[in-house]
Amino acid sequence: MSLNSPTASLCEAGAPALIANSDSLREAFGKALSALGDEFPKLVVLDADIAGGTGVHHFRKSHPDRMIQFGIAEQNMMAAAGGMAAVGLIPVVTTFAVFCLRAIEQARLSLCYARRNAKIVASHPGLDVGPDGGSAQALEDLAAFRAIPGMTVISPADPTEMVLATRAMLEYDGPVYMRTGRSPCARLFGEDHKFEIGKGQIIRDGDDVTIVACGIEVARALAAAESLAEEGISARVVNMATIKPIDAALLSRCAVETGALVTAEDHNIHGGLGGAVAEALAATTPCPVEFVGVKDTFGASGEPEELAHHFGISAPFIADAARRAIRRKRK
Amino acid sequence: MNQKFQTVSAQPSPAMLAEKLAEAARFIRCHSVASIFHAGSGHPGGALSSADLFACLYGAEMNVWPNAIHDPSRDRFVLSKGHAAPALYATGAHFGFCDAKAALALRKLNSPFQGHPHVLDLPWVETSTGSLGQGMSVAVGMAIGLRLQKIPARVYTMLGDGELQEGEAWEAAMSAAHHKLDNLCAVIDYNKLQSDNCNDAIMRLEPLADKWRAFGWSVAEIDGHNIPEILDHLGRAGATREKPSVLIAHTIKGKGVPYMENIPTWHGSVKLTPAQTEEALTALGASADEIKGFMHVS
Repeated sequence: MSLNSPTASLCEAGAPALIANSDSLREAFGKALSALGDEFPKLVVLDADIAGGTGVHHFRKSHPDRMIQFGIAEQNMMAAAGGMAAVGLIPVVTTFAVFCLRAIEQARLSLCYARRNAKIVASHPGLDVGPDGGSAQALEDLAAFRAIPGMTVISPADPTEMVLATRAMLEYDGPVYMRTGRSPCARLFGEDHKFEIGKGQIIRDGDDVTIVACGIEVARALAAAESLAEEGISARVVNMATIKPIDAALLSRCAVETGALVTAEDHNIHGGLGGAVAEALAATTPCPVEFVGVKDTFGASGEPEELAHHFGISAPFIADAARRAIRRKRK
Repeated sequence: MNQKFQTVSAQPSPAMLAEKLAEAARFIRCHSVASIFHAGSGHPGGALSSADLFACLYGAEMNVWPNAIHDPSRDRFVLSKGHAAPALYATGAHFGFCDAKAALALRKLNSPFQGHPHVLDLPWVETSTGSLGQGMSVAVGMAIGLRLQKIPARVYTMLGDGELQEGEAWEAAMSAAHHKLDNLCAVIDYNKLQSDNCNDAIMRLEPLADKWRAFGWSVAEIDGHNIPEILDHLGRAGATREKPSVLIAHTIKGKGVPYMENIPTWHGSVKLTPAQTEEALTALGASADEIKGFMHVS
């Protein structure tokens, strides 16, 4: 029966190097979690056989006793996190964003309805997944998890912010859904960067339009603002790392001060950051809003930057949206 | 056990204990029928089939105390078949976790006794359930979490048979055996009927015991209405090491109410008439005074 069945130690000895880039959000998350392990003794990490992909292989190495393997069975893992939280642990469920969608009903009932102090950290969101293609690119997760009462939804923009957000997530008492990212990403923030759940930040000031972005789109929003500046348009950029609860006060202020907004996200244009921003502004300070995101379609294979261009979420598309928003404001 | 309030007085004789638990089961059945009557909807069949199991768990097997519902060392119970909530509430009422009269306000607005258990409304129900298969996973998480923290408490979960058609139940079963959760005991209320028809007609479960054995569990098939047998096997499960245990309890859906027994119609959410309710309570052995008390809530 055990003929040709490799033992665990053999698998380890012959393991190829993990395909993981040190500048990706997932790696920053995994290292942060590992570094926080001693400070948060109740922290346990749940894995569905993709620790190498989600970044939590770092935690497995530093805290093997608190790494719980669930195999390729995300529904059971998600609900089991509810049970662990019920007995006083702080479980962090880790898998790809699409598989979080697979277990969303478990997150709804056993984490949110029961109001457990449990966290879901989703790697591989959006077109940023790249070559794995459309089936693997979750473009619906922000919308879906945002719709669950009591769920906090976070999407940090760079490795520095990811480290801060990981700590904030563990310090917060309640269910959280946080996106990381697969591909190498730019480092935008210095050591003095601050992160607070529920607070957006103006990271570049401007008067003509505000670009509100989250996750990897923040870097593209900054690039768009730079190119707009060359043509004399002053674009403000807001890093909206918390999609829920959305920072309505900051959005309202930007609407008053700049008169038009653009949202940018690596997500369907429906229901994610754009939806959250539009809902907040419609209730307080209506103004023209243009939405940059994937236009209600599925992704495809390709490199992340190629895909961003193909599906219209790269910097030039954000700049175009900003021009449109400004034109609408002047009508 | 310890100094905390105990639901069953220390060391009664086996005969006395069985008698007490039979009385508890009778109350659970009566109260379940009455609360479903007042609600105007609810699932009587599975509440009646599981009453003896509830009585044994809360009345003898589990270390749970109404005056210490947050004690970390308590045993945990997860009602994976959440639609049997009326039986859980009736059990709670009988053993002092909630008020019996209050628990008749089943499925009413502003009542904590929702159609399916909710832990924020009633902390002693341990978790919120109602989505089949999921409670089993929560129980697995609790068992892992307790063991990790070196808390010697046990975890019990009650499953319906129909919910074993959920893939998640088998994900949970696989993980419990893999992690050698000998602090976990699943009890299956195997009444053979589900919402629309018998299991066999909807989606065959047999050979059920073989499936659990193949998944690495310690398996016992028992008569789910025989109190000494239930107690005996709960005890054996507690002594089993390195494996989770499952009791496949053969039961009769609608047990105790002849017009309901083994008829799938009484699984689903039904509206009981006053006459049906009185007939059921009479069949369950309720006295005239008891019937009056159950039927008329001020």
